Amino acid sequence: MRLPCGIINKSYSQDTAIVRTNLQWLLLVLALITLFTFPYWASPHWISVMIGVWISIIGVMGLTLLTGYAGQLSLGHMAFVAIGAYTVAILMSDLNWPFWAALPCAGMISGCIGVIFGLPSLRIKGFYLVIATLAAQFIIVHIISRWDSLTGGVFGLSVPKVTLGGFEFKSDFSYYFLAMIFALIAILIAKNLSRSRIGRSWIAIRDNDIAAEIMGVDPFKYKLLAFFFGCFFAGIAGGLWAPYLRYLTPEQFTLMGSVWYLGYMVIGGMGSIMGPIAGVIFITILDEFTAEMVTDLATGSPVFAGFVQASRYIVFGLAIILFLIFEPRGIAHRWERIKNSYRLWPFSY
Amino acid sequence: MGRTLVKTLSISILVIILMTLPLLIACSDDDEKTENAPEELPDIHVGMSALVTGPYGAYAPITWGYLDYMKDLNERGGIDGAQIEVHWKDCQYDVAQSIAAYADYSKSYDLVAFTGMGTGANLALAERCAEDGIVLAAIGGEPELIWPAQEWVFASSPNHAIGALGAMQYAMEQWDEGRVARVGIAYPNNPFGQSIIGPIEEYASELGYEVVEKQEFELTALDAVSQSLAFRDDEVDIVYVQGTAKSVAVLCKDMDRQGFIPKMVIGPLHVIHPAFPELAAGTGEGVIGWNPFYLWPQDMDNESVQYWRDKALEYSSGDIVSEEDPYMSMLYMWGLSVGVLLEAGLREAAAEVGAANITAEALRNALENVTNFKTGNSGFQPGIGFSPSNHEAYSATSLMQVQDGVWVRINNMFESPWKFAE
Repeated sequence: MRLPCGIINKSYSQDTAIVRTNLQWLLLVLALITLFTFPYWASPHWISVMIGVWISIIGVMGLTLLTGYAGQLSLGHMAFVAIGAYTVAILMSDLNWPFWAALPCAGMISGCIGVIFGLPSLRIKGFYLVIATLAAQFIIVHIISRWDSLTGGVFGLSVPKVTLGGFEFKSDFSYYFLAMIFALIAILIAKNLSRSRIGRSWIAIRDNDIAAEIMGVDPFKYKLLAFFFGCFFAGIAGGLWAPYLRYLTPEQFTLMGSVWYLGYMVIGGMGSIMGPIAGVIFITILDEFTAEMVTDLATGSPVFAGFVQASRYIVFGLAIILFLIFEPRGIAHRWERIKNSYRLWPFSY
Repeated sequence: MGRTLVKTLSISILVIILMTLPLLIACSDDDEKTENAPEELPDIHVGMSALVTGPYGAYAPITWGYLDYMKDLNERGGIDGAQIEVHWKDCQYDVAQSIAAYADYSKSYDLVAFTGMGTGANLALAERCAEDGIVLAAIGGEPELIWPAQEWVFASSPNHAIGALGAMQYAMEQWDEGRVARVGIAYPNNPFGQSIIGPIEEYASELGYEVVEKQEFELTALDAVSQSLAFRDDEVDIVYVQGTAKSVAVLCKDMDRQGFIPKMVIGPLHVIHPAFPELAAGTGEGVIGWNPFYLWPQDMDNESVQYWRDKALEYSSGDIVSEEDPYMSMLYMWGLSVGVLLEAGLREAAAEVGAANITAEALRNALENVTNFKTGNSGFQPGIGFSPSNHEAYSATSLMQVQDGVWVRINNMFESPWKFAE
């Protein structure tokens, strides 16, 4: 970790600390206060939006481990979210399992199926692997929409509410905390995974798999591990998504959803834990802003009624293009540059 | 060392307290927090997760129709003087955004009704509306939403099954071959596509046809060779295509290419697009499409259609009118139909409890007492009514046909053979 001028690590514990300086502690505490008090001062709409943000962060975090760290491109991540969602829905509604038991199962099943689809990764990479993972998107969603007796087919199935000791997480207010806590845990796990032996092996494979193998890293093992963890996170995201929506249909897990996940990751910054968080929040805020703009424009100036039908996507697409031109390494990189500039101030070069 | 330990411990404890405390508070007073009813307002609040942009942005006239009806209703004095305030947001047919909009409006206002768009969104909203006791005034289309009737869900217009059966009834009235007609169905594998299969099969013996072939056919398909060959091999007489103008055109062209011309091709309301004859490159002649509204430019002799055409020009949706497009005006009417549903329920509720005391429950109860509701400007559709076992506004449809490259009305509104489970 880069540290501000004058701060030197003197022990291993200091070297491995995620939060190292007093300022970082202060910022962390302030961030936690903000996040935990958010539902008390934010509007119901934003609480609902933030639930989606937390769940997306978990899913995109998985994709970041798989693609950003291990370099295994995936265009079928939404299918693994679907597996998690349907696992939770089926276990809770058909077998009356508690959510707390169904959720880890969702992650495990999604992770294991991810490993199956990751098997070709030993032989193929790049665009070829993209096509293989694209197959996962189609195969999995196809099975879900055809297996009527289990998944309800195209008409879907309803999902019971999450309960804990008699308390029902029935409102967005309470579900916010549930989603946030799981997201924070996921971020912590991803952070530690990324700097563990596994994470370093992933980076080595991503940067040069032949060199990594010569140095003793088993590419097959670590690629499959990347698929497992990446899809495990996706399964957890799906598992949280299902009881929130309370109704699942295969149409909720589209190829476009997988593309958006890649978009979140690319805009946020690949290969960093900050990336998915920044990407999801940035795109969500942009989306909300354009939605508000469309609504206001259509309400206030009816003459724009026809025009606004297209404006939302124009603004959205334009922002993404501009972003990719001026900051192709993502928001996380920009954030690092801001921090570095601050640390060297007033002697920045 | 000791100082560091104390510091680490104290920060850890602080963080744990910060994380746990709000959670406990959230769990304890959850109901109290979420039911923070706003101050009493004279207005009647309704909400909508609208559709204006995004992949399905072409359906935006539905939103404009709904908003225009409410504006018109307010200009006509509202419900016994009480104005209706519509809270809406463009949710792009997206389930999560629809739920976010619902969460926002249902917590911020005393909503009596909410309108969602899209099967997925409506199915998810139906559960929430039932839990919160808010009427879901659904834009019709999805039979699974209202059959069997759900306590809080009401549909503003006939669903796809009703329209399909109406069209099949008409087809059989025209059938004079002296044998049982052979019917083929082409459908996409989604709720929209699946919704018509069961009813068409169920009514086969009653109406006098036989379903001999069912072919999956995606809305975005670029060709329909296998489907055309299957229909040809099974000697299908009538093809019912649950598709859009584009997909029906693809099927017509490919059937023609295979040298197979069925006696009749029928599509849903989405087929009555002015571009269809051109898309079908001359092979769409005679294709029939059902729709449950009178619309412009075909029905300008209908006073209500004239009224709304002028209103659309006056309010906001000039492009809908100037294009003289039956498809756009059909979507617009679809939106208006939700307004009619709400006006019917609200007027009935006002008569029972007074306009100032209308609640969601009063609206729900009132809707079930509505019979043949019609106003001077709702004549673009038949009178609407509900009962405890029927939450669909009406079960009539009308038909249009491509003649000489344009859509022409071939009959007026008639009752579909669909029977609600009593």
